[in-house]
Amino acid sequence: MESKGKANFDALVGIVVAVCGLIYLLASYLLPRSTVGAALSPSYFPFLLGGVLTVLGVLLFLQSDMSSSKQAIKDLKKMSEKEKANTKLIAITCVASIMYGVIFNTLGFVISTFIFIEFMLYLTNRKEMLKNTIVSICFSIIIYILFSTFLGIILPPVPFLNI
Amino acid sequence: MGDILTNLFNGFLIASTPYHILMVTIGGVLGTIVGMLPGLGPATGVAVLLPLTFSMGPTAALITMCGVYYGAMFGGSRSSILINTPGDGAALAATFDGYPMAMQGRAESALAISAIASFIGGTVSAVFMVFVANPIADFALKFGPAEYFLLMIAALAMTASMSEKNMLKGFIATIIGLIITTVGIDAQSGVPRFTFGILELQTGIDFLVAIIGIYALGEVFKSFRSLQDGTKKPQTKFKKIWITKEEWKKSMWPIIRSTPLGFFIGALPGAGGTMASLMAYNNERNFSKHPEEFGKGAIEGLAAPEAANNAASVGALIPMLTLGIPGSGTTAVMMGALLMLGIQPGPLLFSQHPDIAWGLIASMFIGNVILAVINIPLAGVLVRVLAIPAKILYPLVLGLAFVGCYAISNSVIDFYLLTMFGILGYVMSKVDLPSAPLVLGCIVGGTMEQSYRQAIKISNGSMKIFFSSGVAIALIVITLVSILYPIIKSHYAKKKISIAQ
Repeated sequence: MESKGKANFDALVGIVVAVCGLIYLLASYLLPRSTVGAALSPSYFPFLLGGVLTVLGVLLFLQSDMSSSKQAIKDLKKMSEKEKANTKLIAITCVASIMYGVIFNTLGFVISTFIFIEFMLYLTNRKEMLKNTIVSICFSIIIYILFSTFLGIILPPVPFLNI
Repeated sequence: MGDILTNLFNGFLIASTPYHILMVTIGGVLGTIVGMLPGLGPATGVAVLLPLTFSMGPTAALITMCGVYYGAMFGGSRSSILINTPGDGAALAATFDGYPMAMQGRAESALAISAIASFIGGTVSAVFMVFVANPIADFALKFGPAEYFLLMIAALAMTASMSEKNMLKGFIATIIGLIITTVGIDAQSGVPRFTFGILELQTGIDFLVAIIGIYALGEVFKSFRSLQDGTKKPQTKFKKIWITKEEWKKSMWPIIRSTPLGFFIGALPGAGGTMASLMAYNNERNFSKHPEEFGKGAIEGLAAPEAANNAASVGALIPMLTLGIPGSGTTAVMMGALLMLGIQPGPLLFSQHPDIAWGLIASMFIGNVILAVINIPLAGVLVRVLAIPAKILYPLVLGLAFVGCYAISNSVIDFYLLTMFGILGYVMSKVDLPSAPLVLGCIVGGTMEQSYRQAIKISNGSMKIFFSSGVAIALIVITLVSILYPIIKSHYAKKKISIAQ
């Protein structure tokens, strides 16, 4: 294809996709059998998807060339400091998101959201902590009032106070 | 003909009472606001604002809900254009060219054309609805499960072949999207599939979670890069929110072409605004003399899907009102509300409650005018969202994504899913897999599987059912053309180059 020579992950993606397709096919076969109608009926559609996915993965692999993928992996190892910091920021955000989910119900919407936003702003905008704090307080309170009062969506309240 | 006009006139008498005009305005404003919030589309908007209508009569309730519905359709594209986060699937296509336009400092034109296209799409479709409600519904009735299945295949094939870089990758993304929908309890047999024993996964993965994850989180992850580069100062002063004559010339025909298409697709049960807007986008791209500009801020690429999705939202009411079959998530919520109020939508609605049916149709005209008036001046205020520095905006977008996600499911399990989809979106962009086909796959997957299995059941396991009707064969031809056309086109383009050399 035209992508030849340029670093890309196509060959690698092809392999991963084909393998995933095969695993999915196997998992579809191992699904519990249906007690109503045809026993394999819950697996029909997954079979179709798994099969097509495997074929597409193989086609993509055949279409690409391995050297481009090797080059792309090499480039990945030589990542610049900035790229590394970026990847780290994404990883921290993911962990923060999961922690947000963990504290969401116990601490209530307003407190947990304040902590999450404050932390995220600390990561992205370290210099203006006062501004960050004002933004995170306003955001969590305004959204809470908007959702619970005007939109009728019940968000977890502040513990003990129940407001 | 005379009957229709008499009915429409009576409808206008009902819809133009001050109370009903007030209700459609309130519904429209609230709908616009809700539609703009990431993760809250028309379906959630209508569901969330339902309590508002409990104290109203059926006509006022239906008119208010439709106001919310159209408002959310208008509003959804605002966040697509400004922050690249569609409020719902139907606003997805507005990100393709709307966001690049905003990035190029053409947010005024983008906001104006999307409101204008929405207005024209909605109003013209209301005219269609007046005259062709019954014939369209009759045609849609002929669609069996096999035809639905093929229709969805055709739509998916078009989206996949639309992904400019590599069609194979488009199809891979589509299949991943479809696979996501197979998680959860199988609706026909009750067998839990791919839930890994997690209780919350039994109800499946809401496609909105996938959309918000990929578009809000994934986009923020991608944009973290630019954060360290030091972002360019966003434009803070804006010219008048309107379009130039030249832009109107470019958009006029796409709007006129996409309106009937959107209306027709919307009227087919199961195929809603998302499919309509993506198909309209794809069509215009194929019609265009310069398809390479699509995705880089072509105004036609925004006007066409906007007209189509508002047209589809009118069309989607047809099967619900005339057949009692909701064609989309939003109309399903509306139908539930009507049943609660003691009104049975269906063929008898027009004869037993002409006041409700025609009052609603008349209110569509009024609602569209009001929404256009609200949305074009209001757009000026909204554009200021972009003036917030990215380092503050990104954390807030993350926060909104999580709230929106919680509003859909009331479960923090979706926070984890959201994060996973964010990572998926980021990785996909790293390896050049397009995200739009995945999202479409997520949306149609459930219905697609049901249609497929119903078709197989009807034919006792024979595949012949997929070739058994004219409509089915036409859809297969459309699918094949949309797959083969780009291949043949690029083949000839290469030949030309080699000859030239």
